[in-house]
Amino acid sequence: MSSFGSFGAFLDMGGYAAFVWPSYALTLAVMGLNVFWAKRLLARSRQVARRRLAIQEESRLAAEAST
Amino acid sequence: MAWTWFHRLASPPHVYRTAERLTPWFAWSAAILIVAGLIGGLYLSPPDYQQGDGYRILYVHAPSAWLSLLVYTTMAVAGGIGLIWRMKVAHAVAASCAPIGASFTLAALVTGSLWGKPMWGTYWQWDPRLTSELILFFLYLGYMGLRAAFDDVQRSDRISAVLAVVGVINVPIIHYSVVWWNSLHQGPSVMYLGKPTMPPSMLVPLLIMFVGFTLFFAAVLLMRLRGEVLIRERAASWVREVVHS
Repeated sequence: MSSFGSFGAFLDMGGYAAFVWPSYALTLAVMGLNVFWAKRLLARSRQVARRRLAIQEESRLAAEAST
Repeated sequence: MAWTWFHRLASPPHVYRTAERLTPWFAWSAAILIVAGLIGGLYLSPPDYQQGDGYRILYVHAPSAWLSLLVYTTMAVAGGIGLIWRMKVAHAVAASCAPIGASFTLAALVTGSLWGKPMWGTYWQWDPRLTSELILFFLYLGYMGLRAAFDDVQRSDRISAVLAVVGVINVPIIHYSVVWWNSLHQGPSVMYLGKPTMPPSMLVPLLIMFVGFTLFFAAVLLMRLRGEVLIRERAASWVREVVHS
């Protein structure tokens, strides 16, 4: 199936290991960061929305109490 | 029926819930395809007759470069729709695209550089393809910087959309740079005059990667989009339901 005779040969990438592996590592890191950033953005905007709703609720209750 | 889909696309609660429902489908199919593409590209495909195993950088370089262009085009089209129809959801799509596109443009540039060193003898050349891709990276950074410069979301949506639309002229320049100018960069290898220039054992993992990266973009875009929609809709009543679920 594969062109590599051994695991060592696979790691060596025909002498191009210093170029091939960092390319793959960087691309996978970019993918991981994208997932992390997206989850963080969503979590933060949900939190901000929740806080804003809580403040609105408080001021509504305060207005009701004063009438 | 004609325009109902368009109106539903413009409805933030509909978009938020649809994005939430679709994200895992895109994410899992992307994960499966990317793992398959990694095995195919790194292990199963044969070495190149000229570049040996060094050519395997192709399997992460070309899909990253593809996303750099696809994401920018999506951003510009969404920004344009936002400007013309004053559609908040479209602006939210455009804003979601920028960091994704910038990061994959950087990946395309750096993996290309790592490929260039052993094959061309240099990490960098001021070549049409490389230079126009670098300009794309700066366009993304400029877009994000411009957004960050305004506190008012609606203002930053409109002003950054103008930059995105104007900058889209760079996309065909990047694509055709290897055809129009005598570039160091190789020509398109997947489809050249309708015929692939690679044997199936090399081509199939690459096509799997293209689809996998595209689905990955869709998944991350939909996740970011929910955040960006919430930022623009904090006062609406539907927000109460989705943030407490």
